[in-house]
Amino acid sequence: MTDVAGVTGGQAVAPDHRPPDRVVVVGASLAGVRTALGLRRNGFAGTITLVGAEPWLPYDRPPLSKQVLLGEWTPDRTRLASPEQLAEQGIEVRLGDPAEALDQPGRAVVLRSGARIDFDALVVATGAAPRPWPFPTPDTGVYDLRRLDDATAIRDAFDTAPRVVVVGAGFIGTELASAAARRGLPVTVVEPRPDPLAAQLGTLAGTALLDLHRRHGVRFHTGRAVRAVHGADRVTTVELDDGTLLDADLVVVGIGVLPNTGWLRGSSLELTDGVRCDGTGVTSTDPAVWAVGDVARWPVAGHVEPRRVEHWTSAVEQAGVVAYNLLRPPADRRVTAQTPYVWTDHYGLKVQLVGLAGPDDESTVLHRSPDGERFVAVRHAGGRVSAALAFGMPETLPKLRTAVRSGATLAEATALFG
Amino acid sequence: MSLRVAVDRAHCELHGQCVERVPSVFRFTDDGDLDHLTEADDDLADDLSDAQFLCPAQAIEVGPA
Repeated sequence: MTDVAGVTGGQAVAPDHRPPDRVVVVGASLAGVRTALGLRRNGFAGTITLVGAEPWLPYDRPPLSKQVLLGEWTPDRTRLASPEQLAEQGIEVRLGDPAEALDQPGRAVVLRSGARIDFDALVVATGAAPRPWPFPTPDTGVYDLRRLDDATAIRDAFDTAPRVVVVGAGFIGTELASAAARRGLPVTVVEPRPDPLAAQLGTLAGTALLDLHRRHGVRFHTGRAVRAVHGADRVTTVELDDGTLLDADLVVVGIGVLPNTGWLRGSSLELTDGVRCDGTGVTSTDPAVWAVGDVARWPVAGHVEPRRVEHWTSAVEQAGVVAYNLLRPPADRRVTAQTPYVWTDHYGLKVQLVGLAGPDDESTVLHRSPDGERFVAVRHAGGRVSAALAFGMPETLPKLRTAVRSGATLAEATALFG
Repeated sequence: MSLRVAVDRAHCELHGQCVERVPSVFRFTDDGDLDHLTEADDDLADDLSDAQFLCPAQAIEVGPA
């Protein structure tokens, strides 16, 4: 067992490293299952317990707002590991029993059922949950989109030809609008910010993506907040802060997520907007506790403070790094500073984003397709590239990654497309 | 000895994670399509395994040639 008495004043005193015999991974989504499988890939022969709050075997979330909503994929196809594969890998899976508490001195996780699971090393992979809607809403017709059952419920509701109102024009909200519009449904998107998607993509690409949506018939109310969602039992109307009433049969709220750290309250872990980790994935205060995925705050290339990056590839990379490092003494561990990558699909067009721009970074187009519809742009500040995006041009990704990784100047990035 | 590399083109979504990880096997063509060698040296087993792991579409298959 690792001695935790050495944890004082928020500073970890590294104990002599002994490889763990028992690893518990809390969170059975992408980051969790990939960590568990990765430990076996790295030759770990001890016990692995994978704890999941949801009742389903690990599944992939990106298709939920894409292929599943469109009815192109059945839910089975989102599965990340089969029961046979998990059994063959010697991974014990406990589903539908969320972790309720961490007994840090006792080195155990306590589940809702009351079960205690002892560990030598713990991987926190509890993800994030939709930011709760701040007002009361009717019981029927208002959805989040995070879980498998959310996606199938919305997909099924699409079949009843609803008038759709989306609250929040982030990636989830706009992907949902894309899916609904492709199903031929009338869609209205409400977003308090005047420039939706600008925070993620910059004003230039954000505007281009909104224009694409408008061409497919989606209406936007930007710079407008929702004042109330009306309906006695079923939703009927959405009222905006300028008094506008939008008729609605189906409302989907996509206003961001919060990390699932409630069960860790009272531990020594630093929990402000996610579990703080160093570039090896170990938490800042406990050498036996690691964190991966949407719940974790890791260093990001080009940024001083560690931060949560809610991307598929970040979860996978972090899982790979932790599965490697957890079995090794500190001197042999890999350190990463991730370069974030995310994609989003709209009407068959893929927008891919590399890096992490500041909110005020400028946008410059480097290259356009002959028809002008597709383009490559970089975000930059002080003459240096912070992020780059491909708007329907996946073949440009290797160049864009090079530009972002190297912290290229705007001139150097421009030359890549000369 | 060598390895057989296949990409399920019905699943590939052109994320380019494989191009990034193993540029000696995977590349983008000028018109934006993915191209790859169908056989690779055994030395690349770990890199190819990483590429499989990182592929968001889970479209890469690697096996004995």
